[in-house]
Amino acid sequence: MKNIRKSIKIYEYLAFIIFAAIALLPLLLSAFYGLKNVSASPIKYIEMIIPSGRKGVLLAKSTGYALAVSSITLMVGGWCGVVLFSVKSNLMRSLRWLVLLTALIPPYIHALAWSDVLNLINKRLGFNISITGWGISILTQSMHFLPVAIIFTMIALKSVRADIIDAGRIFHSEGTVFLKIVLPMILPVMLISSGIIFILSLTDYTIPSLFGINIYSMEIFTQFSAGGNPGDAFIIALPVLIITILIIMGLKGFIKSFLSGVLRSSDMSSTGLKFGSATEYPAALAVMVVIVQIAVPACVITFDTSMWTDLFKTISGSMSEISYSLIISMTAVLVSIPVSLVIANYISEAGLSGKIVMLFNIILFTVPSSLVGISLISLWNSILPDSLYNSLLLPVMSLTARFAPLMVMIISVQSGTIDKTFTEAALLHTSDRLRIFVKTRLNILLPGIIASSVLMFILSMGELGATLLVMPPGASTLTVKIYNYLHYGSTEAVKGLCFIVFIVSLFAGYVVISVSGIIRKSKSGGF
Amino acid sequence: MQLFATAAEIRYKVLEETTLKKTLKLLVMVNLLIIVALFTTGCKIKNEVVIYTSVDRNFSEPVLQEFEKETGIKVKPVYDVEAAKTTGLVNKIIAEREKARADVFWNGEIAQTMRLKQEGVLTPYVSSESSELPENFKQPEGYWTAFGGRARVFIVNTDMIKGIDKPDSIYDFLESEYPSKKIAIAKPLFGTTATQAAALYALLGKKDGYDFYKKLHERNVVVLDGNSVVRDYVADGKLMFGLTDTDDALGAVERGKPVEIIYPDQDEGGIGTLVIPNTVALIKDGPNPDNGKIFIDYLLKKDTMKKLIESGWCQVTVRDIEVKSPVPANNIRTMNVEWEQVFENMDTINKDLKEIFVD
Repeated sequence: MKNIRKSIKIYEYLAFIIFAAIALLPLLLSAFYGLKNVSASPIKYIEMIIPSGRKGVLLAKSTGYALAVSSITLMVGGWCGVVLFSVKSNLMRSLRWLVLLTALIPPYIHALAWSDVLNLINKRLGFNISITGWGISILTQSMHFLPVAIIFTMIALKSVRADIIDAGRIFHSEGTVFLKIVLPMILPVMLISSGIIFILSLTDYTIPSLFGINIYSMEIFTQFSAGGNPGDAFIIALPVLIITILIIMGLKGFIKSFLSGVLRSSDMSSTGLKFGSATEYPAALAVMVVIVQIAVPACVITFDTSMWTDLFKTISGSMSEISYSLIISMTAVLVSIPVSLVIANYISEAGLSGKIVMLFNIILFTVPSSLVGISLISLWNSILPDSLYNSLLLPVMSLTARFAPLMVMIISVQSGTIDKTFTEAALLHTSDRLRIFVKTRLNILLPGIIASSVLMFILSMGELGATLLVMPPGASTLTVKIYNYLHYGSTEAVKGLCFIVFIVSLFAGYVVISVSGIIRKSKSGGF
Repeated sequence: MQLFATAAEIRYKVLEETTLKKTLKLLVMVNLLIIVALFTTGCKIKNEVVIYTSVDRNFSEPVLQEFEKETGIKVKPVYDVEAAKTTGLVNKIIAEREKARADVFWNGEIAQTMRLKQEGVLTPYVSSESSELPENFKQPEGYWTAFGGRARVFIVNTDMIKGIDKPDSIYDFLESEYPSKKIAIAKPLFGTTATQAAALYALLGKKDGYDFYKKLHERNVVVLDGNSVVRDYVADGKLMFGLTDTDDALGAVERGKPVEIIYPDQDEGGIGTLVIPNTVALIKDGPNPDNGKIFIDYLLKKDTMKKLIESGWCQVTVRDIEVKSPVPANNIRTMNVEWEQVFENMDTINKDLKEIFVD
């Protein structure tokens, strides 16, 4: 990336300071406490950094769990994505939209839905399928992340050049063309989605804890609860952080080619992929998997009649949680937009320093949620006065720390589509970069800003690990309430609350699709 | 032409300025709104009380809401979560000792409340509603009051136990009749499971208590992450039976699972079932001490106790209260322990059981 900037402006300093105060400094402080503890008792802490015994087994199991989920979604999601992209029918088109629409449903809704379905199967068919343990947890987590894998696959297919496919078809069958030309081209992007799913499965404990299994990221939370020491929590989290950084390093090359590929418009849709009769049944199976993935949470949540009778009472009894969740999520988005815009703009314009900032940004996105909360408490507990400490501030900061890096990434990718010569031409008329930004880049970035804002909003609504730790007395998010109630199993009240979240997620998905439509129209492309 | 070009340029510049200024004004207004919201939401409401409670939310929330409705005092609750058990909340109270943020601690057990008293973060308050409680349910200086009780029980899967004698003693965990991979306890380092371990140490002596858990471990009895996990595994048919709390077990019964609740050690000469009382305590230098006292009085009322029993949270009442419990505990033989002795054993069992089950 050619560095077309001469200096950092004051608003950029401000954005970096805010971002650092919220996301980076708390983590660094926990790291500092951790290092202090290590230097005081090196042997004890080296055993913590290199987990052995029970913790070692737990880390291995958690890594295996994440690997299982990412492998399943890679294979199943990849195949489903290929089928949805290739088959030209109204049903497929509808399914594509439904996949996008339901991609943002929080994980606990999948947990509730799948445990209800398996309970029903056991009752009606006399089976004895376990509704606790690793099996159902892997199934549910895979179903939760399946849309991510499908969407990434379709994005990858979108960027494959049609002329290459056509050239291949002259000499080879469709199957060979797919295996030898298309698959190698889309595999890097599929591996990126698999890597993201691996990291998220390793660092989030929501679904496993609901099915009674312990994974390593839960240890960070329980360690802090047991000892109250953020340094110890950081040391416990270190193995997970190292694994996620290694994954990111391994995918670095693929990320680069993904960014350049996704920006390339393609007319792949005009030539499409064609499959012979041999793939009919596997294709039908893929369609069924997608339908099941969508239908299970939708049906369980909406068709439970007992839930509807008390829905009004459920909603009115949870108004404070609903409004609190909406307020902190929206505030986190509003805070993140200007900060992310400035940082993303910096990343796209600066050379090496921009790459370093992007790397830090990606690492911050992968920090386990409980460590985010713990780090914020350790930094701000004694500094802030009560009126601020007990306000929305810490929950908003936790959501910003968790998801602003994602917004930065999305906007950076879109910034990369803007021709740099626009900026260089504008620089001939004025040296005011803020004016240049507002007049030349903001309009183009607006759809990406809206899409990433909606995505951040819905992820914030479903966030658990960090907000659980930083919520002030008397405040609770809807997700925390649902999570607490879910430990007692599925009830009408829980389903009612999940229904609210389900509707909000669908609406958010609809907004993202509409914005994507605007972006597509401007580029004259489409799925 | 030159004049028009200049006018157009000026108009263009003015519009540019206006758009830029509008954008900046909008950004500043939004951020000011955010800052105002942040400051105002943290401000203290005049009539409020902050309750930290380890009692499961679906049982404690209705009581807090009822209190708010009756008294008009705004309740700000902080609930425990399954993952942290009670320890997280207790550590939070201790960490906040320089600037207490809680007024009252309502605990679903007793040992951690005694730990708070030892740490010096409680202040004495003797409620008028505690007069009918037995003396051993009241800390002599008034630092905490115990009430109600949950029992440590077996949850048994009736389908899996067919053809075998149902367990009736905790020593059945050591019997070869029951396959070790089909019976479970929760990890005895947290919550009521830890309290039970300390009670066994107090009752049997440190050596016998240690030996019991050592044998459990050597038998490879399944150790799960919490009482609700034990319940789910038994209800799910993965285990024959496990040790859990009555409220957890009741959840499975109410969901129609094929399970039964059994009070262990009820035979003549048996050690009895451990009944762990709830406790409530006033936090030292809390922000709303008077409202805290009002809440403690409310919690200790017989009516409130009746509601807690009817909901299934408590099963044992040591006062004369007419109530129908979903898990009847009339005339059960209870384990006869001194809670001070139980508390004294907490550090020992933490060390011993960590050595057995963790390291």
